[in-house]
Amino acid sequence: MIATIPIIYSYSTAPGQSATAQEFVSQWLHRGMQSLSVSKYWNDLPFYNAYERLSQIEADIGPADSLDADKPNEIAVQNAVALLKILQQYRIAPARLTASAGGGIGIAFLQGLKRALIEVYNEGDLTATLSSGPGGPEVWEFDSRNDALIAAVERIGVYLSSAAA
Amino acid sequence: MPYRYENPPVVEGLIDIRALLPATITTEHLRAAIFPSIKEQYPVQERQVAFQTAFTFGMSVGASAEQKDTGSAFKSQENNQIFQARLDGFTLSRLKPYQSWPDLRQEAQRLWKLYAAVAEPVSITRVAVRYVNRIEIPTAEFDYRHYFRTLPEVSSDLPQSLSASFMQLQFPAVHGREAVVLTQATVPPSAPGTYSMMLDIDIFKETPNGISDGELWSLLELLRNQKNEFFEGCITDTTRLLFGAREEY
Repeated sequence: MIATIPIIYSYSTAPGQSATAQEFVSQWLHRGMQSLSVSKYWNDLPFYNAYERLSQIEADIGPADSLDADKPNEIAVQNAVALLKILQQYRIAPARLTASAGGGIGIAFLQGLKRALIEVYNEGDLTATLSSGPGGPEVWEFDSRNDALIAAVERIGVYLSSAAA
Repeated sequence: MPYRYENPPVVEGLIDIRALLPATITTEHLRAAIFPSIKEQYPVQERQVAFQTAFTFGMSVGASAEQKDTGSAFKSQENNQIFQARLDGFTLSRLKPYQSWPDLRQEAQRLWKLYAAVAEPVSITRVAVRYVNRIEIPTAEFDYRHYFRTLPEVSSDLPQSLSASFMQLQFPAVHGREAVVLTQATVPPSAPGTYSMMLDIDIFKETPNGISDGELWSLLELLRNQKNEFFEGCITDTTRLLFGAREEY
């Protein structure tokens, strides 16, 4: 078998879904490893990748997001870093980071058929969206105070870990 | 045949001990009793939280999730040594730069003594040694067999070129060997034109009857030796050269 440069990965994670290898490993880490010994490296790897992606977004390099929106400014990046630190503590790994259509940074989460998105705007405010419920998506706004970030992370953690809707 | 390496590819070596604690022990108690004794070496303290799903059955069926405080992680200033004191046990992780097994074991013994004095475990239910290795192949195009001896086998009727792979093998505890979960997976390369493969060996003994404190450290030594056998059994001499294999002992 010959290995080639792994530029593009395509795995099937579930019927109707696909993910990059990084996302696949990230999901595997948080779903399938409960029976394994607790590894700090594996737990933190999705976050190292997230910080790297954030640096790429900030420097406007890496995969293009094809958006006409304003590129993330310093406020959005600072708030995204604060959010990632809390997510790491709660071990809720983002599936993807992108430049946000609304001007800022989008942090997406995926657990089975459940999806959540936090948009960190250049103006300093944030919104969170939980999707997959029969009643449509649930959206709320919050600010960048630490307790507000923690409350949002906890709400997303509860949503992603609850049984499928 | 064990080797000694100048640059071992270890990104994490850990000792994990799961224990059953008395119901009276709380995470606040663990934190308050342990942190003052270790804050010099592990000044950074983080609360650990897990989310749990609760199912209810009765007149109606439902599910809800709640968060639970599971313990604390205490980190060294450099963030490369992490001690987790949880309600379900204890883990000591050493990240890069990895030092040595005797260093890891000695520190684990010291911290376990402290943890056991505070947590008063009723029994030890699982003991593990886990090593996560990141093997950097200095070329992006290569034959897997030149570097690895445990491989995913692709039918000759299929294309032989792979851009990524993920393989997990679970070996049962038989013939005097303990159970092993071996994971080999590609991760994004650290530099263009290279290839990065994780080789993760988690070897453990699990028993409902409990493991006595007396046999704990000899068992960990046994697990570490078996981990080395698995590691060497997965790689080739070409791979060993990447780590600077310099002598056998």
